[in-house]
Amino acid sequence: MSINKKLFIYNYSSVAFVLIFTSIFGITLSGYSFEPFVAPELVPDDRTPVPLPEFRSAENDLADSFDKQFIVQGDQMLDFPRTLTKISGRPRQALNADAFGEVRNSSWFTNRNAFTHMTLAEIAQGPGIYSGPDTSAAWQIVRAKAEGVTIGFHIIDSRGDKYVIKFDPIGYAGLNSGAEVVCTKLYYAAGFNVPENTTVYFRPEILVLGEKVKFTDKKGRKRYMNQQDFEEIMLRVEISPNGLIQAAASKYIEGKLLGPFHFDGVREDDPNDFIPHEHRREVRGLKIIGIWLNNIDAKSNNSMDTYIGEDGEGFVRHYMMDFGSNLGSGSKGPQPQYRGHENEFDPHEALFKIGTLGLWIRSWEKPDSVHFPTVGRFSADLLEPDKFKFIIPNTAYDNCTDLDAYWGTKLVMSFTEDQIETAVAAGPYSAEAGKYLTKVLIERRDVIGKHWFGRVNPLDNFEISKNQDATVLNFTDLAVSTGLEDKSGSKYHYEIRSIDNQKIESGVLENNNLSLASIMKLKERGGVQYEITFRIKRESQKKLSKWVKVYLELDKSSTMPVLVGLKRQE
Amino acid sequence: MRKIVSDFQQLFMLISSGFIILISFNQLTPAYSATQQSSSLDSIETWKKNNLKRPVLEVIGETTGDIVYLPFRLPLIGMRESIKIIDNTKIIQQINDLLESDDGTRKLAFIASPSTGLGGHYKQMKLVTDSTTISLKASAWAHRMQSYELSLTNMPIYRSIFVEPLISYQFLSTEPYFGLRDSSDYSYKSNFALEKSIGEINLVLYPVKSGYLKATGGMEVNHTFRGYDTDYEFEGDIESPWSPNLAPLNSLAGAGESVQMTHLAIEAGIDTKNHIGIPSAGYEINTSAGYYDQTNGDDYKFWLGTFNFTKYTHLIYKRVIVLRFGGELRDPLAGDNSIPFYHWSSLGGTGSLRGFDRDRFRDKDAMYGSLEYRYPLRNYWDKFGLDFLYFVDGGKVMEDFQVDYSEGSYQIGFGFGLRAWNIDSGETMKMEVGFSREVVKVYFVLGL
Repeated sequence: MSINKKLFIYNYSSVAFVLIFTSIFGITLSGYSFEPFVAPELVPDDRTPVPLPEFRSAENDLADSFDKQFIVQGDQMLDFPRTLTKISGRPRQALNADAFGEVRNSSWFTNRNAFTHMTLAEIAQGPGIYSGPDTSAAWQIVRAKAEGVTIGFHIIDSRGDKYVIKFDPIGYAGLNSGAEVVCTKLYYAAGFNVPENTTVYFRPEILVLGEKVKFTDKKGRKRYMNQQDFEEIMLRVEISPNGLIQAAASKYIEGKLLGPFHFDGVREDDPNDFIPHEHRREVRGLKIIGIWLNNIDAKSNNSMDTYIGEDGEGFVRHYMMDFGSNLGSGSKGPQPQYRGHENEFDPHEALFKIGTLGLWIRSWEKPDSVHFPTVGRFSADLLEPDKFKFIIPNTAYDNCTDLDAYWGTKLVMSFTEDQIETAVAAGPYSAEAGKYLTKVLIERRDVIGKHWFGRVNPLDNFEISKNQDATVLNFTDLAVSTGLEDKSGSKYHYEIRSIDNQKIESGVLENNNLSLASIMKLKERGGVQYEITFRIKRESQKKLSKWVKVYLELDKSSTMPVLVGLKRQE
Repeated sequence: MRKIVSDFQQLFMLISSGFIILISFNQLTPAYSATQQSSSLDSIETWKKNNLKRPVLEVIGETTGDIVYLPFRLPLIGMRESIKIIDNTKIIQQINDLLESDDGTRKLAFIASPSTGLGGHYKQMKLVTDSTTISLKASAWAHRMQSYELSLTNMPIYRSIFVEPLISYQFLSTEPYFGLRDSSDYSYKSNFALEKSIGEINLVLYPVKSGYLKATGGMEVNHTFRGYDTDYEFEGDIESPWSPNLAPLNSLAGAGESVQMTHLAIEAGIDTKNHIGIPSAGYEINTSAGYYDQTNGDDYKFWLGTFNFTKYTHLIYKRVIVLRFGGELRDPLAGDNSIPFYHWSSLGGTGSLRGFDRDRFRDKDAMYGSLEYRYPLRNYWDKFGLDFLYFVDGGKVMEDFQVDYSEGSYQIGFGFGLRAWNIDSGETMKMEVGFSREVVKVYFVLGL
């Protein structure tokens, strides 16, 4: 090789080295620079009048499962920007979070218990103003569901109200109906739209087969139901010794039904639906509620869109529904052991098992016991929030970032033990079964809280107050306020910087308020943004936590700084 | 004329003013919804413009991924749509409906086998007792391959004694043939055709739970022909089925002739396995002895004995070991050459020595063993599931078991497979891949 060539290569390598070095150094340096906080644009209200969209029929379950398990997984893997941002630790964040990581009330979500603590009466009432169908008079059957896992009827009661009556599997009275009712209360209190679900007890005689009731028989034939079909279905329904049938009654949702929503994309014929669902914080964060309540069947068909209002003056509202396979219920019996740990058809797990000759025994494979038939298989023992798997992958959940999960965890952790007990009391459980279910829900709540409040800095509810002429920034350590961590063992390291990247103050707090005196002294500078970085040091953990940065602005004329937003480290 | 024009002007003005009023009214009436709707939707459009705009690099990256994925995505979409069509039309349930009577007493199932082709299996159940069944199997394939079997099972005649008559006719046009003995060469692969008619009556006694005794008496007619092996260029008699360099025609017993025989056999067995389709515990033992005598001559006469043992051992958490071994012995009773070659023991294929071709090895005696380890990939409610399995099969054919069992090496095949099962019906679907020193074979088996 000639000297010139060698020199060229040498020079080329040097330039590359310098470029790489300066890039890395630049990136490193940029980590310490003050990045002014720019609040995201306020998301417009999505409940403005729009024309009535078309009805969209339910997905074929098998095809949907295949789509989510294979096609969408490939889509995600070969979405290079998505993969790269995920690997680099900067995944695409939800598009509708505000400056504080919260979401506005919308057609999807209403800030309820995590925003304003609900009373026990409100929890008990849930979404309903009705107490279920009128059991004193006949119910006319207008539709039947005889195929599939669960059986049920669509009925009209004496008041003219329409309900879906869903039965429990024989030998497990209360298993599905209990899960349906309890989860309805909890989903509603968390902020989601749900139908009114109640437990009903009725005599079989009040069921009257209507005319031309369409149903698909067990052989896949679509036809009108006859009395013999009805009697055959009723043979699969458990009647208690007192002659009553216990079931879940789900009231038809108000408005015009438009079919299920999808967990990805938007409904093209709804102008209000402008944020892809997989990038909505409340849809991504729904995953955490799903993990808590074991809502393993998080598919499109368990949702419903309705048009609220008159044609042309209404808007589309999005509902979660069908909670009969939540908690410990697997619909036709207790939840199988693998649920929550593997997808229904899980190629990754299958390959892993094949590769390890089946010798790697998963913890869930060990035999366990079902303590209460009404509760089914439900415990917190093997719950690993970040490894939880749903029956089929869910596109929105696949996009759930730590920040979305943190938001969802706040919803879960907002439930007190009394509130959970109240929701469980709405189910058809014996005292002991109810106590067990409450205990498990509390344990699962805490497992989720410990996990996500450990991964993301859980300082929240920042507000500025005046305390005897002193301006103070108050905050809540959610891990402490929810009892997951010890207050005395938690110290808060902080550092205040101004927009010119000047360190103003730093220190360690033992309580939840930080004096802003040092900022107030700089009031004359006016219009300046300040950044306060908090990290937590807990006795139970060796390292400092990730940071949360709070941004304030202080005008010359103002008496108090104004909170403009916050950022959390992922 | 002027008046007419004036009237037209007035009429025009009237209609115009009416339109103006109507338009104004229309604009005023939905004052709330239209203006607010448009302003809200405008704000949505503005928000979308500001927040959903994606960097060019991101779009390029995503488009690149889409292009790379396209050749894989399209077939997957095709599969998804096929699944949708099949499930939406409920065609499987409807075929099942056609194939099975409402009361479940009549059933038609598809059958498939490499030796008998594709066909159907019709069963009429609950004839005299709940377990009495008459069944008819019929299948066919190319080259005149065909098989028919009519049988009656569990027909009670006295207390726990049952009679089970059977008649069958088969024309197996592509039976594999590699020559005789353990040392036969794979490159000699050829085939022959076997026409086989059997009529027999079995008497079955169930003296104890899980145990049975069976006595069989019957007649059979066998005739061999040249097989349909297109790869093999055969020159000679059309009725000579095999390569002359494998075994001279005159040394291969039963070749090219019609042999009519009677047979008598007794069999005893115990079956304690816990499930039919996917046993995880228990064992199966059966042993039999039979006697065959030619009725249209004195050339062929022999006896045979068989033994089979299978043990299912549950290890831990649905991991199961299946150990199997067995053997067959034959002895000529009318001279050394008095066992027709198609009655010799054979090894190879899914039932005996996986990893080899079907009936790869033939000789008078045989012994074989198998070790299988299977574990669940998915178990749905303990009702149906999918297991993965690894196996090692070994065996050898011998001229005389007593002399040869310790001599020479055993043929070894190994592999893995998938097994879907339904515990209620006992039906299984197996896909196995076997490896051996000769070939890699894929087996697909549907049935009990």
